[in-house]
Amino acid sequence: MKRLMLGLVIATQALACTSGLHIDAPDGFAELEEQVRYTYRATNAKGVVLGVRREDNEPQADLAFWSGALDAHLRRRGYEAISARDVATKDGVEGRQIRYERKHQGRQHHYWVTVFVTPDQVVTVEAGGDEAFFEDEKKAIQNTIESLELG
Amino acid sequence: MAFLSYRRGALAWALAVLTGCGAGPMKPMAMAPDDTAPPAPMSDRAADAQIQGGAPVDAPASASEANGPATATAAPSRRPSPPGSVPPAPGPPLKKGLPPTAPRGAKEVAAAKDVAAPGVEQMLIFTGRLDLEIDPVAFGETLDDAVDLAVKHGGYIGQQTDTSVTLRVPSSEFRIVMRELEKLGDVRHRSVNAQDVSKQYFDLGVRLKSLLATRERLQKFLDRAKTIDEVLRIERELMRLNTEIDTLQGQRRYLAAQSAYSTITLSLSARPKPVKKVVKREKKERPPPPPPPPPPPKTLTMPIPWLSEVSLDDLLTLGRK
Repeated sequence: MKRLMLGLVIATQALACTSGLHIDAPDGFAELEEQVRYTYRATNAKGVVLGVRREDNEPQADLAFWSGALDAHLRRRGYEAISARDVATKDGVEGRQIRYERKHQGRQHHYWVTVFVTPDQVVTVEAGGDEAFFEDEKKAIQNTIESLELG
Repeated sequence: MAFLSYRRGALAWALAVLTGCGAGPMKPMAMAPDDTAPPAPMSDRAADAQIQGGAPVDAPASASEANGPATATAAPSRRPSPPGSVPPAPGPPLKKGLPPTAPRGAKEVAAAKDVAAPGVEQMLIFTGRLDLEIDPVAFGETLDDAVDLAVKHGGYIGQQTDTSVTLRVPSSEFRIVMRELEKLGDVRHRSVNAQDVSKQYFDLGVRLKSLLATRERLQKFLDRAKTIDEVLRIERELMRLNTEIDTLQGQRRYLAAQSAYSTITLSLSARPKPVKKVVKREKKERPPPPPPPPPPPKTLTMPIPWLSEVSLDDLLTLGRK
């Protein structure tokens, strides 16, 4: 019975399901509770953070619009785009991932922004951290993003 | 008595001949004022010796005749023609003989010409003018240099103002001094004038010789004069002859001095300030500077509040967000 209860707790933490959003957090990440702007945010022990925003698709626009708007906003603030790629969620929603590099507190950091757009909402998945620790989490983060289910 | 009347007749004839022919009243030549002090005029004795065809005698006959230091260079007949001067002009053709009916005075003149002509050399009066441009601050120094130069070559200063000087230099040094003076500045104008006074000088000598001979004869007549009337007439004539002789001798001295020493007038003027030439450097056609890089494309700031919250800083700031 005790084993059953522990398994349920772990499953609850691992499968964050908020308002229809389902995300498989990478191993070693802990979800931050009581988030206001973020629908979901988790961090590992070394400061690599994964966050998900969900906003209304307002004004109504497609993926190109929202990815372009986000990219323009970040470039204006000095983010340097390294690469961009098309991605898709587990449930087949196409998205756009743009990877940036940015100095933060004197250290080089990686910052990934992935946008998924549905007719009703715009889901933004952000991942960032010191490049020294981000390299180890790249694959896990990418898997988490691709396993996302927008519901 | 007959002998006395013959003597009177002879004296009357002699006076008539003297006054009517060679020793008649002569129109004195206009003599230019000798503003300079010729240092070595030819003495009367030297002139007389030259008239006789011999070498000039430098020693003055008397103290009154020696107006300056008589040197060999001052004797016109000994003065060599300055280098570059006009070649000697041939003298007028001289008569080698006279018709038998020629009067006695004319014979004397002809004899003087025959003797003197071969010994007469060309006499030139050189006058040089030099206008120089120099630095305005060097006027005094340049004038002093010019005077020193003249003195060095045996000359002397004739006249001087603040901007000019008249120099008298031996004619043999004329050309050398001119060239040396030209080095003192930039030559703006240069002129040299040579006046040939050989014939004038020679003619004066002939006339002087004739008058001297006439005076000598008159003095002989005076010794033989027996009446007061004869003495008075001869002495009056002697007085006129002496005046004429003095005039001619003065003219000869003047010409001798002028030809022995040349005149150089040096005038100075300020050198104009050099005008700086504005040299337009050809501008090397440099390629136009590259235009400034265009500003980054301006993107519209979306009026979407949550977009501005997307950032690494916000993401990494843990806490309640």
